[in-house]
Amino acid sequence: MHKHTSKSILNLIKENTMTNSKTKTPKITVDPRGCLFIVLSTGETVPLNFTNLVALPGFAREVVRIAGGCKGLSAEFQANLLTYFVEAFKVVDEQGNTMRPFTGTAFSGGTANVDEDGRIKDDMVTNVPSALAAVYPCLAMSSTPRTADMALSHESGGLIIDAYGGRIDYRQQAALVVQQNASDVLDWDGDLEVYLTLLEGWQMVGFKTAIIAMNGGKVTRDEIYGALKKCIPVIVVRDSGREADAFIQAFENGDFTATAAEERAKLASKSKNEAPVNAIVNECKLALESVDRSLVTIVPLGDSKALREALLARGFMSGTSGT
Amino acid sequence: MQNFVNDSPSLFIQTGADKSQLFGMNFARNIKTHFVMRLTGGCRLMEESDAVGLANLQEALSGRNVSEEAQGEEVSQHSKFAGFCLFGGTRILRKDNPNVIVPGITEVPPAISRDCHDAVMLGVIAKAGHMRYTPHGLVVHSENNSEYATIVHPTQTSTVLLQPSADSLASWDDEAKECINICDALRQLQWQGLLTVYNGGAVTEREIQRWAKLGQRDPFWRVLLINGSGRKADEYANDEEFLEDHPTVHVCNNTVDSMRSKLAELGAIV
Repeated sequence: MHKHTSKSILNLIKENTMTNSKTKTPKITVDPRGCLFIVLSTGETVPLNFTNLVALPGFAREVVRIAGGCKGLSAEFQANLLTYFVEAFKVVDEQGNTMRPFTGTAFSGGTANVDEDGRIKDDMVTNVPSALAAVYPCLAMSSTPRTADMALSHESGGLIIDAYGGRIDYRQQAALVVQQNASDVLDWDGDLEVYLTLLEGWQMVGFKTAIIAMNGGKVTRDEIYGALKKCIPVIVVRDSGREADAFIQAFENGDFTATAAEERAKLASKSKNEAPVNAIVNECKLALESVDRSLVTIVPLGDSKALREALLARGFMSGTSGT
Repeated sequence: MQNFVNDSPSLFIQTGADKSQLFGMNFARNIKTHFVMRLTGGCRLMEESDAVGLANLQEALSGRNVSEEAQGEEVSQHSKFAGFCLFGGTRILRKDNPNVIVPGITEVPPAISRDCHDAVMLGVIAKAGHMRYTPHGLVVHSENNSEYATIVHPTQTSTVLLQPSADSLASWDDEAKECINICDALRQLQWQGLLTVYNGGAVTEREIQRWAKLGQRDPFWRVLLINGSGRKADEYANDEEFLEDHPTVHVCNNTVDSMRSKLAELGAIV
């Protein structure tokens, strides 16, 4: 059993983050060569060596997707982002000692920002799985749409996946890149159907699944509504801003004025017809009318305990593992 | 919530080069043995006398002891199948009386599922005829001059139906080829594999040959021929030259004890 105080966990995160930046290995090694890397073209199915990774013996049959972003959030929150999640993904006793860490699969968009020296900055929600895998015996996996030609960094050899220098977080156990084909790129939501189908499939064969959504733009909105349509539970972080809060507003009060607000403002600034945004909002309204509302949990921002309790209520960190 | 929908097997349709992601996800089910057994052989064309022995295979895989049960004796505990079974996924009915089920290899996995709670039964069906939905099931093959109709078996974990397109038909060989594709992916995950053959005709023969040939390159591709089950299984089980050239092909007799012994040796029952 893993038993750390909160303080030692924080130190461990820092130590492991630093160590992993050098060694490129999470706590549990699945492939000694490094992060399993798969490129999937439209029309292909995700190979079994990716989909079955979550079913490896010893890991809990739990998969949680961490979605969204941090845009507009305070610098203080962003600095504690990974700690917030690491603290939430463990069962603690009354004294705050770790009784049971997360041993399932953390799944995200898998991208990472790097500093001038090419080191991962750990400033995005997509880094959460790696942070968890650095301290807990769990799996970190990702799916990412290929939105530009890929490149290998001259400095580090790291795989650059978008036009802005974003890398694939190599500290995970597995990463999946989804592309239209070798020539054509996808939009930022290009992996959405693939990864929601994976979550649906894992749920179909007995896994606990959920999405944690905080902040985020239109892709996050589609993730929330898309998950609910597939009966995948969604934990939404209140006061995290943007589409996560817009969803809460719509869910609790039937008020869709904040839904797609960024897209609406963009069209308005160009004096363009807002009909496409109205169509999006109508689609969201229709979706909310038919979803199972018990699939939604709302937690306050920055409250690790509340997020932990939401995960526990959804059957995560149950202490059981696959055979 | 338990209801007639949730308890029913899922059915996915693969068209052309399309692949069902969700059908493939069945291999992430929580099963303790990472063992895939492809079960193939005779169906409608099997002689009645050969079909009798299907009960032996059923008994060997399920761990039951039918004779002891019949005599009311204390039933011995035997090893049973606890992996993933890929089979044809169909059932054959008489058209003049759909209550009559024609014995065939595809009746074995559903029958043993009652005893093998740790096993997953996955049907791979080639759409060899135009489908019709009937009160007796979804028909996937029926020839006008035949007394029989083939339906999707109602008792299995999940099924994938293969069709080249909505209007064109698959060949019976497509089932075997798709199973090889699936097994090859599992082979790369270090699973164990086995093709178990009871009876069978020309389609089964081609499947035996494919697995035996693959077995010359990788020991994953093991074959168990049940000698005494008739037709192609017997033909190859008694072909010494073939067996010598293909060391991953094994033979057992059409008795419960012989099957049980060989299946245990090959890790198919635990």
